[in-house]
Amino acid sequence: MTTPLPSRRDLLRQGGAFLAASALAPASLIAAPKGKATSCILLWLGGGSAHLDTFDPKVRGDGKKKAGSYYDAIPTAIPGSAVCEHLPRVARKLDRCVLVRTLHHKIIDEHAAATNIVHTGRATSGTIIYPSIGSVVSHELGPGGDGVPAYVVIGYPNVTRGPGFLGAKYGYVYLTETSAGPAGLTPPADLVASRKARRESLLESIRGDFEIDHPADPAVADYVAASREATRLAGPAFASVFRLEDEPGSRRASYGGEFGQRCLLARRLVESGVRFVEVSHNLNFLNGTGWDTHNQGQLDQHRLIAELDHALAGLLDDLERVGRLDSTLVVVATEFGRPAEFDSGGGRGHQSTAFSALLAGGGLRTGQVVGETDDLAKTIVSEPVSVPDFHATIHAALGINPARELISPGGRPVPITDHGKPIARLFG
Amino acid sequence: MSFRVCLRSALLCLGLICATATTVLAGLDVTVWEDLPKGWRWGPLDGEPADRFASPLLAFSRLPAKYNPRGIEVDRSSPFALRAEARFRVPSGNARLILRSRNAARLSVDGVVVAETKPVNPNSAGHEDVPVVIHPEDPRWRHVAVGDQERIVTWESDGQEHVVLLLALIGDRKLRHETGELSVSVAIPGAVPFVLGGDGRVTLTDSGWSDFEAAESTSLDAFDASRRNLAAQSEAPYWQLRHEAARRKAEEGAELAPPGEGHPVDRRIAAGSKGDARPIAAGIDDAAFFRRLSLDTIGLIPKASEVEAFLADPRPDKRDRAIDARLADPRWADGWMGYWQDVLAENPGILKPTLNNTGPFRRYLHQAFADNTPADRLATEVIRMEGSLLGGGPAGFGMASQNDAPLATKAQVLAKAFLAAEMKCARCHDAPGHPFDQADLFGLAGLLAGKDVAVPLASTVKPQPGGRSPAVSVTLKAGEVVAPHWALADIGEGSPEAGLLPPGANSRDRLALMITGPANRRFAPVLANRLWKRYLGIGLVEPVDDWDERPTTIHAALLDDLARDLMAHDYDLKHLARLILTSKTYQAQVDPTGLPARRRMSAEQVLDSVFAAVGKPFGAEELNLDPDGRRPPTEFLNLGIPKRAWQFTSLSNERDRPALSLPVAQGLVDVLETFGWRASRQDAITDRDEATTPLQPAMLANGVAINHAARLTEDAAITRLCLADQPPQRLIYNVYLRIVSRPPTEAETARAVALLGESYAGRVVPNAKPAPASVGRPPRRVSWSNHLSPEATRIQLEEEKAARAGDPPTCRLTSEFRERMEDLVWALLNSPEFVFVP
Repeated sequence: MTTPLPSRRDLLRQGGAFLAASALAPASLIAAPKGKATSCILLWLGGGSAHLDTFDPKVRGDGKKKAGSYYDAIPTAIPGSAVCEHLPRVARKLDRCVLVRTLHHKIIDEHAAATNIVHTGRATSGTIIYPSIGSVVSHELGPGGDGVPAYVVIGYPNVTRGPGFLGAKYGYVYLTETSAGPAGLTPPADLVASRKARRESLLESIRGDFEIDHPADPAVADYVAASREATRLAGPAFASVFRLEDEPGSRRASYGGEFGQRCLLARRLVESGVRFVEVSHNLNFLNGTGWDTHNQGQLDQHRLIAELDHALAGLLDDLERVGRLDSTLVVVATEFGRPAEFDSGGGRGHQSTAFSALLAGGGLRTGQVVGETDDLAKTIVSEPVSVPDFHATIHAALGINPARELISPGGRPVPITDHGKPIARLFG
Repeated sequence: MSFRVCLRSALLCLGLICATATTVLAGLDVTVWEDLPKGWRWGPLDGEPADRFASPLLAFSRLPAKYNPRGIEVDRSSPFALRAEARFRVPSGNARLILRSRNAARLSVDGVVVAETKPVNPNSAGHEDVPVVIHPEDPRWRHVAVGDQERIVTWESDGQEHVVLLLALIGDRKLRHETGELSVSVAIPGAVPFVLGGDGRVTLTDSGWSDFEAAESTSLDAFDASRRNLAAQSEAPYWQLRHEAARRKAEEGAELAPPGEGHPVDRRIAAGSKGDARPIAAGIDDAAFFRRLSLDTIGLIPKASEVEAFLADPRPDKRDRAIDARLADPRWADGWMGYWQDVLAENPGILKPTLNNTGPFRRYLHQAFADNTPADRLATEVIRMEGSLLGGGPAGFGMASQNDAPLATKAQVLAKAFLAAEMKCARCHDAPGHPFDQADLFGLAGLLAGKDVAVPLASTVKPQPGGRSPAVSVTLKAGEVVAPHWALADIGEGSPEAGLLPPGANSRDRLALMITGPANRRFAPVLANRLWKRYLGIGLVEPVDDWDERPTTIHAALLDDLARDLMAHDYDLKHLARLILTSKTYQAQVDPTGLPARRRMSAEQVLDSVFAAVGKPFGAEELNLDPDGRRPPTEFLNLGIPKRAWQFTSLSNERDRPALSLPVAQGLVDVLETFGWRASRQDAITDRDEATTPLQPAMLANGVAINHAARLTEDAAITRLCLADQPPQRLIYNVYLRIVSRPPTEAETARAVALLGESYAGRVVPNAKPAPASVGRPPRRVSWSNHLSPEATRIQLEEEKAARAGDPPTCRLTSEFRERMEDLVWALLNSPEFVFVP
């Protein structure tokens, strides 16, 4: 039992801003490896992709009573390491990749909470909203080109992808499909050029009048400047990045369907200077459930895996072709894995004690497998990688020190990762 | 039963419509029966009903709320039964009775059961097929709502009066309390069906039902308010006692305002705080004042007709009159919502709440501001956390999903909201810059809990590897138990006057008195400062929610005046608002470096004002991912169809599934988020991130919502304005009043008239007949129960495309004119003038 101790309060009352000095002292950062990647593409397998059926294959199960993988395994470009048979293209390029097989956290009951942990590296707290990794990268690196945003999401907006305490400036621009264009930066399809020009000239005269009537008003000046910048962002230069039809047909085909086209767009976005692109693989109609393969979602899961294979291999090939694989870190991640056992409908539940992710390019020492799980990929046998460690690895690859402190609006220092340590053997 | 009172006059036929149709009888008696025997199906309902009210119709899209003896909304038992009886008469011949219901219902005529629907079958898997659209036999009929059932039975009428009895089961142990479109209608060959009741004019068509819902909503809101206020009277003597004590306290040792004429606020401001007397800036003109006042009170820009009337009003006291009218406007409550949702971290999730979600206590807050509940009572009711958890009562404030110390979180939110005591650091360690130890916060949590509270394992600080050692000290160990206690002795008394406690006070009542009572030195000034900042842009003390770490005070004496005003007038926020709004200080021109500060509209004000300017509804989907009502309220909330921006919430698509998208709502939320609104309020804040970003003007220029708003569609008031017969100068005048709340200058008029040019004269397409809006539009079919089917994804992707395309433009205006006018509307909505408070 604790009773209140007024002594420290009395001290505070006398001392005023006593602790401020230590609270604001610059942090002595850890000697984290400093990678040279300049951008990151995160392929998000929402729903919880089954690691046994993708990157951590084990003994075959039967889809019913016998636990195990649902598919055969095939060898890869990393000697001694196998992946699912529906990942043949990625298997051949696995020397450009790192398999992380020992990710883990404690949430299995709810997708939103797990998605939040994997995106922000932290559980919700009630005293602060943590930023997503994309927003942190946006905050740390800013856009890498003129007239482009730093962070783009190809998928649905949600809070786990958001900027949290960093504020809207570090939020994302999003589009839900490649044909849609980024929300807010894509003029309505029916607006012809002459009308666009008429609108702009009307707006310019109105805006100009207001600016003249409000001199020495910084808030107005800021908004007017932002308004002109918005016109530029929504103009032809950034829009041209979204013109996938400018790519040769063979290249578009090398990426596959809509998810592949999103990956192709991601390549074009990072080329334009976007730092962080999150691409959602959420095309549920392929198997019904997407990666959340409960019950009958399992039956057509191979179609989802094959689409990932096609798009990911296409992306790695293409990044290599344009000489950007070393400067672009490609991450494949999900909110949790799935157990070796099958549910009554032949699908799988959720598992967060061990699950897999993939890293590729980004100047990492690829061709390695990090961590080992037990016979049914349920328990970690060696080299556990926490979500903060995983984040720290991504940040380090991008040259960001994962222990650097961000300052929340209340003045509280918040390290970029919660004690995350980069996976050392991927660097140097 | 004693309800057959005023039915005698009911058989009057009302006009021609009724001559061929049914009639029934005003004021049906409806009873509600709770705590039913397990498995109850239509057995006798014994004893007294839990509730009784009159309904004009045998149709219910919602039911009156239930309040506890203090006027706080509570949940009914789950399930409960509704019983409604009506007498009706149909001309002799063939007729059919139509029963529609969500859950099981039974319809009898003259004691004989004629139709019965089935209980809802809960679903959790999401693998069902999307239901096929069943079009009604006559395209004029309204479709059966998704999740509802329909039974149609033939009934041979003898032209005599009959008695119809409806019994319906509402909700269930694991279902929300939704009625669906519960109704009984009669179809006579060749005519559209009529809902039984009233004067028989409510038809079972889309327009008939939407008119009914609107009328029902208005009358039930009033009915609920009257019952709520009546119940709240039970505590009136207690609050009278409290307010008398507060008045006495307010009169103690008041510093005299500087002598002189004029408004007390202006006298203080003119005198300065530390010998820095300065004149008040020049006043704004009437139009700017009226727009500013409207934004600050009802949360959106004024109507053109209101602006015109105000500008034309010759009375010298018209500003005071306008202030009184705005304070009395029911939208005063809407104007406050976003602010308190932030401050109290209202954070409902519509899908399996996990991200530190609360209940949707927005409903309580809105009622409290609509009722002008005194601020001390409002805070007390929040602290008591009574009533409905998931249906909108203050209990929802007490909820915190995936939070290992929910009451510590709530204590921190309360201290910050009402006492400007920022204790969030104390959640995990002694606060380094604030005089709060971890034990202080957990002591408050203990007062909320009414018992000892243990410090959770996660509430600790560990050093960063290789990083600096923590700058904070930790006094409590994880798992340590803290006794309830009040440790904020600098702020208020830990043992307040016993005479001021309500009868039967519990620990929360005591805490509420410590926070809101007259002996607390912060409560009134903190609230007064909050009001001041809302209206003037800068707090008299900053930050408004943190007064312990180097606050900046610009005018202590004025703050003291305002706080005393609040205490001396029953903590009536409208009274204090009037004091501020009537001052020359408030009505002065913006001073970018002083008072009033330059303010941009809040996100909610931007969105509400855009749609008010063009006179259109949002057109958003119901905020509900379980429209067929198969899931429990603990997992899926239905927050209804938003009409004001504050009613939005996180669309909760963390699953990132196309089938769970709400495309129209998403376009509206995009605008809100860009301007600083937070879809997820996991923590409490007062000052939003108001940084300017290019995405703000970009979203207004190109977003889906603005594309909707700036198009002259059939349902837009601005389209009707364009069709009116008037000179072009008059049209431009009206457009400017609508959008920027002022007449255009001569140059602006000339520019706009030139823009329209010759297109104006021939703008009306002769004989063009608009398609009636949304006739026969099938109901939303995608629901959680079927969202994993490929068809669900396909449908929602189509919906996304449709949302991006927007409604078609009117056919009554030539495209030559329409496009020019749309471009003008677009430019005005995008002007910086639109988003800044004048």
